[in-house]
Amino acid sequence: MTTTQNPPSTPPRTATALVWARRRAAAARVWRQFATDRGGVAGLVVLGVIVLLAVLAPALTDQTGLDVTRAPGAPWQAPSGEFWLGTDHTGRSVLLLTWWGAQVSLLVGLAATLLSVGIGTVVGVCAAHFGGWVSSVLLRVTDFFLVLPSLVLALVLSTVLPQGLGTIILAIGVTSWPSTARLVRAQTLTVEARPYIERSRALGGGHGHVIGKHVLPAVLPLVFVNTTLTVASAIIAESTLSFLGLGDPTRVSWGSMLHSASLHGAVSKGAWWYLLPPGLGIVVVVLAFTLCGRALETVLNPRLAHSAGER
Amino acid sequence: MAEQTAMSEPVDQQKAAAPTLLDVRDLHVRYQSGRGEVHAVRGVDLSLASGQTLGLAGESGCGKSTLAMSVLRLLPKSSRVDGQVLLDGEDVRTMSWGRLRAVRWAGASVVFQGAMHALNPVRRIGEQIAEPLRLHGWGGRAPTSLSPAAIRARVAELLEQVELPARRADAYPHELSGGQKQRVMIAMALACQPRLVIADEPTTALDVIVQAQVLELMGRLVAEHDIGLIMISHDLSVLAATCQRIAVMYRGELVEQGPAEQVMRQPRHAHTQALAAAFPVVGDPAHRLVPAAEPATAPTVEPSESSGASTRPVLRAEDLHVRFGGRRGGQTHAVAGVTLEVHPNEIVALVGQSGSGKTTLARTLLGLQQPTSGRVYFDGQPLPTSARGLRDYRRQVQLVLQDPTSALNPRQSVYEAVAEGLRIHRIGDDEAGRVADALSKAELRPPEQFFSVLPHELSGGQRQRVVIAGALALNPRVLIADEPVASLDASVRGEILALFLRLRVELGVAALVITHDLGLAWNIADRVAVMYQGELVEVGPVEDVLLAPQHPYTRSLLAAMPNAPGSLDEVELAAGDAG
Repeated sequence: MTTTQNPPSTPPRTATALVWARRRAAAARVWRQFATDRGGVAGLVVLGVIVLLAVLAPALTDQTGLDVTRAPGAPWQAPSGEFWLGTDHTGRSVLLLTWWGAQVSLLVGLAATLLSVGIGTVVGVCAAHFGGWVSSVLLRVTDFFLVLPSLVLALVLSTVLPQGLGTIILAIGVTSWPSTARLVRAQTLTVEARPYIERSRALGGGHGHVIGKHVLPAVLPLVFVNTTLTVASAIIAESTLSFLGLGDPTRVSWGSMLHSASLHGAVSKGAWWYLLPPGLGIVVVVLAFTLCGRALETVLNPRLAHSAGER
Repeated sequence: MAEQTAMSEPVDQQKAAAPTLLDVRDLHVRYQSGRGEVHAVRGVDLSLASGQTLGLAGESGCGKSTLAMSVLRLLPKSSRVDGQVLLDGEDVRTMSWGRLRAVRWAGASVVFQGAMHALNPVRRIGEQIAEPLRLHGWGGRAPTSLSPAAIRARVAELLEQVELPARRADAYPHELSGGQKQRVMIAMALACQPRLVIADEPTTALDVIVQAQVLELMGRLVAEHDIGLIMISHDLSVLAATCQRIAVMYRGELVEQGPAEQVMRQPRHAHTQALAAAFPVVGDPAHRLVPAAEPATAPTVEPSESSGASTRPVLRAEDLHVRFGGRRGGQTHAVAGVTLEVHPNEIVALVGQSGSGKTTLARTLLGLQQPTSGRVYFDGQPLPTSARGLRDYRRQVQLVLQDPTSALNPRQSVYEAVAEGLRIHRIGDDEAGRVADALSKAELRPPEQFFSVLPHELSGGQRQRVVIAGALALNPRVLIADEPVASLDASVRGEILALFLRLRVELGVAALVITHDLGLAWNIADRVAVMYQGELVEVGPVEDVLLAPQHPYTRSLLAAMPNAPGSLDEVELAAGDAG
C-alpha cells in the first residue's frame, strides 16, 4: 500500500511482454534471496562442477580405460602418482570409474525424479481439483503406493523387467511419487479455496483455465523444491539397487562400483580407495541437492520464510 | 493539547474531579521494518477517568490499535515507544516485568479483535475464563487462597453478568455463536475486575442484531462496575452508541476529540466528516442516492423509474430452492422458495443476516450452484445447464466479491486480472484497448499506469476497482456484488458505492448488491429485498421498505442499527403502532 501513489509508469507494449517482464523480475527476486543463503550457493557450485565434469567426461578422459580387458594397471594398486585413487580388482583406475559413474548416477537421479514428480503433480492436482469419485479413486491408489515398501517394489520391478537404465528409472519413479502427490494435493486444495478461483469461474473459466492459469503457477514452486529434494533420494535409491546387483551391468555407476567392491572383497583386502570415492560421491551430490532444495524452499515457500513472508 | 480540549468540554468538567485512570502524554510509537521506519503514532495526548468511556475511531492503519496496545505494552519488539503512558499514575513504559504482569488483566484488560480466533478451540470456555482468575485472583483475593469451588462460582457469576447461562461454562467455543463467543471474551476481560477495559473492534464480525446486543451489554457493564472503557472501531455509529467521548485518529495523530454526539453530528475535521458520512443514516434524505464521495464527482441520480413491472426483468428467479445435505442426513434449506426480479437499469439490495442464504442465492443466480428446484431466467430465457451455455451466460452476469484482496490472484498483474475474462471468452481483438476501457470505467485513470501493477501494490479501494473492471471488461448487463464494501475502509466505501451508481446511470448496468448494512441499501439501491432464513420476507422500493417496514424482521433489523437516536425512535414508534 506504500507504492499506490506512483505505480510504475512505463506502459508495456504487449500483454506477453508484460507477462515476461514480470516473470523475469520474479526470477531475479528469487535469485537474490537464494544468493543470501550460503549453504544453498555452496551446494549449487558443487553441483555445477560435478555436472560439468560428468558431461565433459568423454572429452576429458579416455573411455577405453573402462574396458576390463584393457585395464592399464595391476589389480588392487594403492593410490599413487599414476593412479590417484588406486585401481580396482581388474586394474582399472578408480578415479576414472568414479568420474564416469557420476554420469549414470546423475542421469538416473534426474530422470527418475522427473517421472516421479510428473506423476505426483498430475495425480495431486486432479485429486484436489475434481473432487468426488475421481478424488477418492486417485487417493486410494496413492495410499496403496504409499504403504508399499518402495525398495521391495523397486526390487521386484527391476527383477521382472529386463535389466537396464530404463528399468531402474521406472522402478524408482513409480515408487516415489505418492508423497509428491499428497503435497501437491494439499497445496492445490488451499489454492482452490481462494476467492479468486471463484471469480475465475464466475468469469466463465473452465477446468483447464482454472488449473492452467491459477493452480499450476501457485503449485509449481513447491513442486520445484520437492524435485530437488527427490533427486537426492532417487540417487540413493539408484545406488541401493545397483549395489544389490540390479543395475545396468554394462555401465558404471557409483552403486555398481560399491557392489563390485564388496563382491570382490575390497574390505578384506583393505582397499579403502575402492570404497570411499563412490561413497563420498553419493554423499556430496545428495548433500548438494539437499542444500539447494532447502535454500529454494525458504525462498519459495512463504510459510517457512517468516521475515520475507508473502505480502 | 488534548487536555485543554478535554477541559473545555462540559461533559468532562463533571468528571474532572475523578482520578485520572489513564493518562497518555505525547506518545510516539515507531516500528522498524524492512522498508524503513514507520511512525505509527505521532504525539498523542489522551486521558480517561474511571467510569468514562472513550471511542477511538479511524481507518485501518491509522495507529488506533497500536495506541491501545501500547497501554499494556503489548507491542512487538520492533517498536519503539516515546512519551508517557500513565496507568493510575504509574508509567507503563518503566514498569518491571513482574509489575507489568500484575497490571495486565488485573488492572487493565483487553477484548481482542475477532472473538472467533481468540479462544482456544480445545478447552471449555469455563476453564478459559478461570485462567486469569487462577493467575491474578480478584477483588484483593490472592490466587493461592482460591478454592476450585470459589473459582467455579466466580465463573458462573461472570457468565451471568454477560447474560449467558452458567451451564454454558462446559461448552467448547465451536458450540457457541459469534455473539456468544464475544460475550465470553467480555467475561474474560472482566474476570479480575480491571479498572480499564480496551475493546479492539469488538463487534466487527458480528451481525447487526447481535452487534446491538453486545454493545448494549458492554455499555451496561461499564456503567455498573465503574470501569474505564476504550473502544476501538472504524464505525463512528458503533462508537456513538456506547461511548461518551470520541477521539478520531488519522495518520497517527488525534485530529478531533469531543463528546460523541458532537463528533457525530458536527464533525469539524475533514476526515471525521468522511467517516461520519460513510455510514449513512436510514431515513435521511441527504444520504438517499448520494454516496459519500467528493461532491464534484458524485453523480446526480434520479430514482430508477423502471422498478415497476413495466419493463421486462433482465434477471429473474422463480420459486428457487437450494438444499444442502448435511453429513448426518440433516438438510439445510439455504434458499427456500425465492422469487426475485432485477430490472434493467436498477440496483436491488439484498439484505439479511449472515446465514440467511444471501450468498447461496447469489451463487445460484450466477449458475455456480445448482438449484434443487425452481428456475433462473435471464432475459426471459431459462438459465442454460451446459458448460458452453453457462460460459456465454457469464458474459452477461458478473460477480464482484467481498474481499478484493483475496479475489485477485496475487501473482497476476492488474492487466492479466482484467483481461482474464476476455481471454476465457476468446475476445482477441484489441485486448489492451478493452482492458484500458474497463479500467477507466472503474475510474482507475490513466489505465496504462496500472497495467503492470501487482495487487499488493494497490490500496483496498483500488483492488475492488480492479475486480469491478474485470467484470466490466465483458460488458455485462448485470453485476452481482457480494458485500462489495464490507472489507473496505470507511472513506473508500462511498467512492465504490458511487461507482456502482454511476455504472447504473451511465452504462445502464443493473446490480444486485448483497449486504447486511441497511444504510448501504438506503444509500444506493432502488429496491430492497429482505432475506430471512432462506425466504424473502419483504421486497419493495427502498423508501417503502425502510421507512414503513411491514415485516417484524425488517423492523428488528432497523432497530438494531447503531444510528442516530432520531431514526431509532421512529422505528420503535412504527413498530409500536403496528404491534
